[in-house]
Amino acid sequence: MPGEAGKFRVLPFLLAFAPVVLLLLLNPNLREKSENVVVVYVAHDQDYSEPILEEFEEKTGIKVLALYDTEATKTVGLVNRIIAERENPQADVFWNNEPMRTIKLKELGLLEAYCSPSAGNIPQNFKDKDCYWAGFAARARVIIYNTNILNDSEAPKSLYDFTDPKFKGKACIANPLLGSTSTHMAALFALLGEEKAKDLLRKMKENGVRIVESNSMVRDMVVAGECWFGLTDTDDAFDAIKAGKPVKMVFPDQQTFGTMVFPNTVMLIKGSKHRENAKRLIDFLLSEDVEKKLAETALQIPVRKNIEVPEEMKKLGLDGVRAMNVTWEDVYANLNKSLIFLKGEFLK
Amino acid sequence: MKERIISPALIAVGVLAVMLPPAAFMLRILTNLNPELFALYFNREIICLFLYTSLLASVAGFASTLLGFFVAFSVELLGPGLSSRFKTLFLLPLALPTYLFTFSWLGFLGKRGTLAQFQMPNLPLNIHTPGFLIFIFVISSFPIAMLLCAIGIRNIPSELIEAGRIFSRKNLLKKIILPLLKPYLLASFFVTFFLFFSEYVTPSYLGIRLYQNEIFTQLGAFYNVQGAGILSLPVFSIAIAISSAMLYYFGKRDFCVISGEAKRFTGLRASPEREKIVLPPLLLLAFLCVGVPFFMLLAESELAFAKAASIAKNEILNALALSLLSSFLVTLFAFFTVLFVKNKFYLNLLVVSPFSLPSVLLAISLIHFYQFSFFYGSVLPLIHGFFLKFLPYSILVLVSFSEQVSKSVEEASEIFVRGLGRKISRIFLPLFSKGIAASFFIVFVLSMSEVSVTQLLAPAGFQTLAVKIDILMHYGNYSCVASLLLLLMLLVFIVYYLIEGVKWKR
Repeated sequence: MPGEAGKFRVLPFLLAFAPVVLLLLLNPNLREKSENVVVVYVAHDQDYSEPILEEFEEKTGIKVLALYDTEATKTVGLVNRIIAERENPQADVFWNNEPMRTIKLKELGLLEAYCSPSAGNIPQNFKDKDCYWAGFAARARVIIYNTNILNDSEAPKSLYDFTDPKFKGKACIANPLLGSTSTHMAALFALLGEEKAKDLLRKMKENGVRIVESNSMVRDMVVAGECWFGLTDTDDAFDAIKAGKPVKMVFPDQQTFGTMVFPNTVMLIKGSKHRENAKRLIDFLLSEDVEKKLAETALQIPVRKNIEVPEEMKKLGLDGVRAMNVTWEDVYANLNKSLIFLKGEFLK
Repeated sequence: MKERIISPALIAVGVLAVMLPPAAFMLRILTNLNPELFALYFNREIICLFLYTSLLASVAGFASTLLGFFVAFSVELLGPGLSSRFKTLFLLPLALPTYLFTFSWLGFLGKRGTLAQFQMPNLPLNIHTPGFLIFIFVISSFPIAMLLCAIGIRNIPSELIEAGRIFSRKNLLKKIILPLLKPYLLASFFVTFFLFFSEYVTPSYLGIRLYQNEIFTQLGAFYNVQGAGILSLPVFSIAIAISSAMLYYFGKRDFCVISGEAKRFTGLRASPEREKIVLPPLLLLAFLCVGVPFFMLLAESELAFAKAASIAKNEILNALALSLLSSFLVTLFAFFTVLFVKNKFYLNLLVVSPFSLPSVLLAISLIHFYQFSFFYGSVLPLIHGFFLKFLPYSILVLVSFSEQVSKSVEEASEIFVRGLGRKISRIFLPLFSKGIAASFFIVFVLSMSEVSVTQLLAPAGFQTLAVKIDILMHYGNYSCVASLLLLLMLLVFIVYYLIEGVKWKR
């Protein structure tokens, strides 16, 4: 009791913490000290990637120590961690959910080339020519709209609909400096040319497009009716559709230049401490079997044309989506230019 | 003799563990700094944004402090039972990340939200405004101010309150309570001001551009740690400036210390008639900061508690273990430091150092600090991260208890109690017990909802409850998220009552 001198029993107090310390030390994940492990940093959604990694564990007996990215720190999470750890890398493999930051890591010299035999039949535009990374199981950029507010015929079908005065202040996009939205903007710069892309974005801004934190936030805003429609990724839109929310998705610009289709990417980290296990995991992730599973569970589009897509995917039109005709090198070359414009003008 | 060894040892640990990682990081930034680079980041627009954010942070800090004081003072007017229940209730918002308040309020006030469904679709409320951001921040952070002010009120000598009541009942607040609480009010302002500066998710969700978002843009869009470090310099400077001003203002005494004796009751209790005046605003506040999030979460949860608990079983255990251990270490270090290190300048530095960098940069500084050591890849850097991030709260709370040990008790202990261990266990620990409990609880609650440091420092294969909740929210798995958040609130309640139940035998 404050203000009263008395006897404090230190021992029981300290003993109370013994289980806590034990719990920490005996944590099954931390206890794993053998060499038969592989450390993987995963930017792909945990819901879908965890079962894949568990299957790898079962098949190979190699323990997978995974670290998943979070939405709150996604923009500053794993990629910054890999950069900060460059002198003493902890990750063996990085399973990224898009290609731009992957190319950035390659440029920084943080990746090691590995030509996986599983990547043999992956189309050239979905992998690095020097084997620093390979892509699989793609997502697409979609317009998600609230069906309580817009019917199918009223729903926007193009990025240019974001500039339509009848939708003034009703559309949302995620922060265009971050994540797949930034890649999408850079892709527009690469595809349309700098001036046309800037013009489109200026008009979007004039039409009161709202900027929110992330793609999942775009989805939530549309679900809540705060925005009538928004630009997001297929996985975010699919989560809401699966949950029975009043939303639908549409692939933009299918009659003109198409939408951005971007793959997951996997790469070997330079200085990896478990190289052989890392290579086995990369081979596994790039296998046709994994692409097929990701198509079934996460509705991700296989980059190989020979993989049969599930019925649900066909219903949503994911099998025949028209993709933008750009190379990732072109997109990356435009990334900084687009970021400077977006930061300096679009977001002001 | 032992004291002579302990004090420098504690200072050495403090310098090494608390000040060195951020200082080394800033030094690395400053050594590469040239005027051109400086000019590149600090253009007119950025300076204006910094000033604007400082203004909002000042308003938010002031409002949180005012509300914290109001609640701390009001609950003292109630009977002990009600007072304790209200305090517990108002501590709950600390268990929820600030952005979840935003979601709850979006669900409540949004265009398709609860109120809109009750035929109130045209409420003239725009929630994407700085005013709403401040509102969200204040209702989620005022408990810290409340806790500090409550400690302060308990430290006011009851004779002074009695004297105030006899001679100038009307001026009791103005002439007695507020002047004596000044150090606590300033400490509350200091903490909430910097909390506002470190909050980047909520402004982003509300679409409000603030200075901290510029720092995160450097990291998130450009992967430019140096740029982020350079942009952190004004925050670093402002932390030093405020702390120095406080030191000067209080004549080089610690800014959170006033003398007096803590007691269980303050003598402030109001008559039953006056209690009736105090209750409605407290109930309204409870509705705003606990009721709305609680009921929105309950409605969203679909009562899927068992499913959620089984999904996040390991994460709950990890979070509990990590938070309990961190709270224990932070409180232990803060207790011994406050007890043995009398240098107020050093104590201020311990408080200021972690506040001077955003959490993400603090974590990156620890990666640089640890990455060549044997411990990197273990849970130790993460515990260190929590230690760094939450030590200021613990110091602020415990420092305010340090002068409860009167000189006479100290002298008596010198004469009658042999050995330092006995002195600590028989004299100081019981006297500091409430402060230790408060510090432990506040660090525990904040640790349970921490994400940014965890994400950068957790070893692979280790996930905490807060991270799991964040990931589930991303998938739109709202029922699980809501159920887990309610479980988190329950855990906080349980820990609070366990701490309250610790008995100090006379």
